[in-house]
Amino acid sequence: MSANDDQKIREFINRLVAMSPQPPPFPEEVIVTTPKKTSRVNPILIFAGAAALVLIGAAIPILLSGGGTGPAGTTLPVVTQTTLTPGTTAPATVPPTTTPAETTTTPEVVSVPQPVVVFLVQTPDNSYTGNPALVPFATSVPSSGGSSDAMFSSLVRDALQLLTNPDLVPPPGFETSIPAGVAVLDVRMADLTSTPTLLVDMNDEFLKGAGGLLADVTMLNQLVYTATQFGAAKVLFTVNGQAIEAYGTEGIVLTDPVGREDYLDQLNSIIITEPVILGGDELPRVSGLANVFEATVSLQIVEQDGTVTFEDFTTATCGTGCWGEFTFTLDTPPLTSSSLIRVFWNSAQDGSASDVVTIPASQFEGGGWDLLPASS
Amino acid sequence: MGMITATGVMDNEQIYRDYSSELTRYATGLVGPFDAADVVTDACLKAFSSKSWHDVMNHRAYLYRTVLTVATDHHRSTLTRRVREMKTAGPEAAAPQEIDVDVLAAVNRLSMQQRAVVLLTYWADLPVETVADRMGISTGAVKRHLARARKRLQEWLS
Repeated sequence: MSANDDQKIREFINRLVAMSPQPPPFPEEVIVTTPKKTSRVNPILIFAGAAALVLIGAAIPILLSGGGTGPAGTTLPVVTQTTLTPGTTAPATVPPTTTPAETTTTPEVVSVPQPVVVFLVQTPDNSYTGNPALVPFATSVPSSGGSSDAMFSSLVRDALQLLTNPDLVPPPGFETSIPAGVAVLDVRMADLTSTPTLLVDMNDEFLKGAGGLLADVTMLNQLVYTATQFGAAKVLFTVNGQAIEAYGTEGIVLTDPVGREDYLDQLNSIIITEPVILGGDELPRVSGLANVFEATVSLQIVEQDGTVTFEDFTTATCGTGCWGEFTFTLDTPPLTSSSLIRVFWNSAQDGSASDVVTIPASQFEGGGWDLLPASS
Repeated sequence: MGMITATGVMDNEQIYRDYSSELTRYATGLVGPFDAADVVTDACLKAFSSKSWHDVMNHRAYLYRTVLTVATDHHRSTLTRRVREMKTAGPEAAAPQEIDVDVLAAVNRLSMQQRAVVLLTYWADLPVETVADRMGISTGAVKRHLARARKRLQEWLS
């Protein structure tokens, strides 16, 4: 790195920063008018701004009429149910539809499907370590809203309860490490540290683990990745409201909060962290973490008959012994609902595709993957 | 609550006046000029409403970190789309401030962490230790991000 290169980068950065707009005005109105609310809003909740607007929009008329604070004779709007398209980490913005209602009508609490992601497991092809790969699945859960704090906790709780639902049917080729009987009792935000932390309360079955060290860790990873999909950094597990020391068959210590990075090395060298969304406003993307030779991650689009219709590779932000982020933006390939997306790295020994994760593209189309049978 | 809140708002207003310009420039480096104002607004709301805000000793560092968190959480793919739109629409569709699409396309090749490290190093002229503190990561991670960012930018600049 020469001084000349440094100078070039400095000039580049100055050109970048020179495009800065004027600072936005001080957000005074929000702070002054809702002091209690803003003081309680957890820092990670801004993710849900769009969805929160929908639900808070639903709550306002309810409070106005139910609380008796609205002027007599006022015609209150009723918010009708709105279906949201599941997103990746931030729900899509869909304004509520309002219609006039009779003064005597008592608005009902609205249950709006909210997009969430659950992480399932795949055994990779040609795996070097035998460790499982995590793959996120976009789906939706009903949510009845409430305060933004409550809505956030309930969304995470619903996602975890879906993941631990004994009736859950993983898509073909995928499975869950979580045994039937393990249940999530409650989820709430912790005010313990400056790191955004979720308290996840489990039932007694959780302590038994999943039947082996690797299965135990995989179960932990599934729960942690699903719980932290909206940005919380750590998860502190409790059982029946009590702190726990260890968990599982081998006694994994759980006295401290667990983050996504804590058990990365017990996973496949390539994991997918965001669902691939087809048919949205943006081009489909495949994003994840990899710890692979020379940080080079490869991707193929494969049709059902085995024809490879697209190939590409990218460089993760770190590799050969460290984990890095990678992203493919699929702007040119003919990606269809029958396509399979294969993500892998090429062995330095023989060039073969290694630790291959295969994602069926169709599963993320439309309203997300239906992980529960219709009858349940 | 009213008096405390009023005082808090006045303090926050002063803090905002002191740092909003540089935070907006920082956010521009992270997410581009189109969404920088939204990121700064979200970050300030997030910081001001945090329970730990009144205990924060270094408001500037805290706000920088919050801007990075908000930028990472909410705008991962926005710049990609914006650059594509700009390239499609042509220069006549540019925003009031002059938009350098090539520069945005180049910075879009960096991860959010890499952008933050490069900005804090080359624009804010901070040493590695301060960059690490402001981002809440280790100095080793800062060096790693910086090395990779330099490599990627060199490819573009050469």
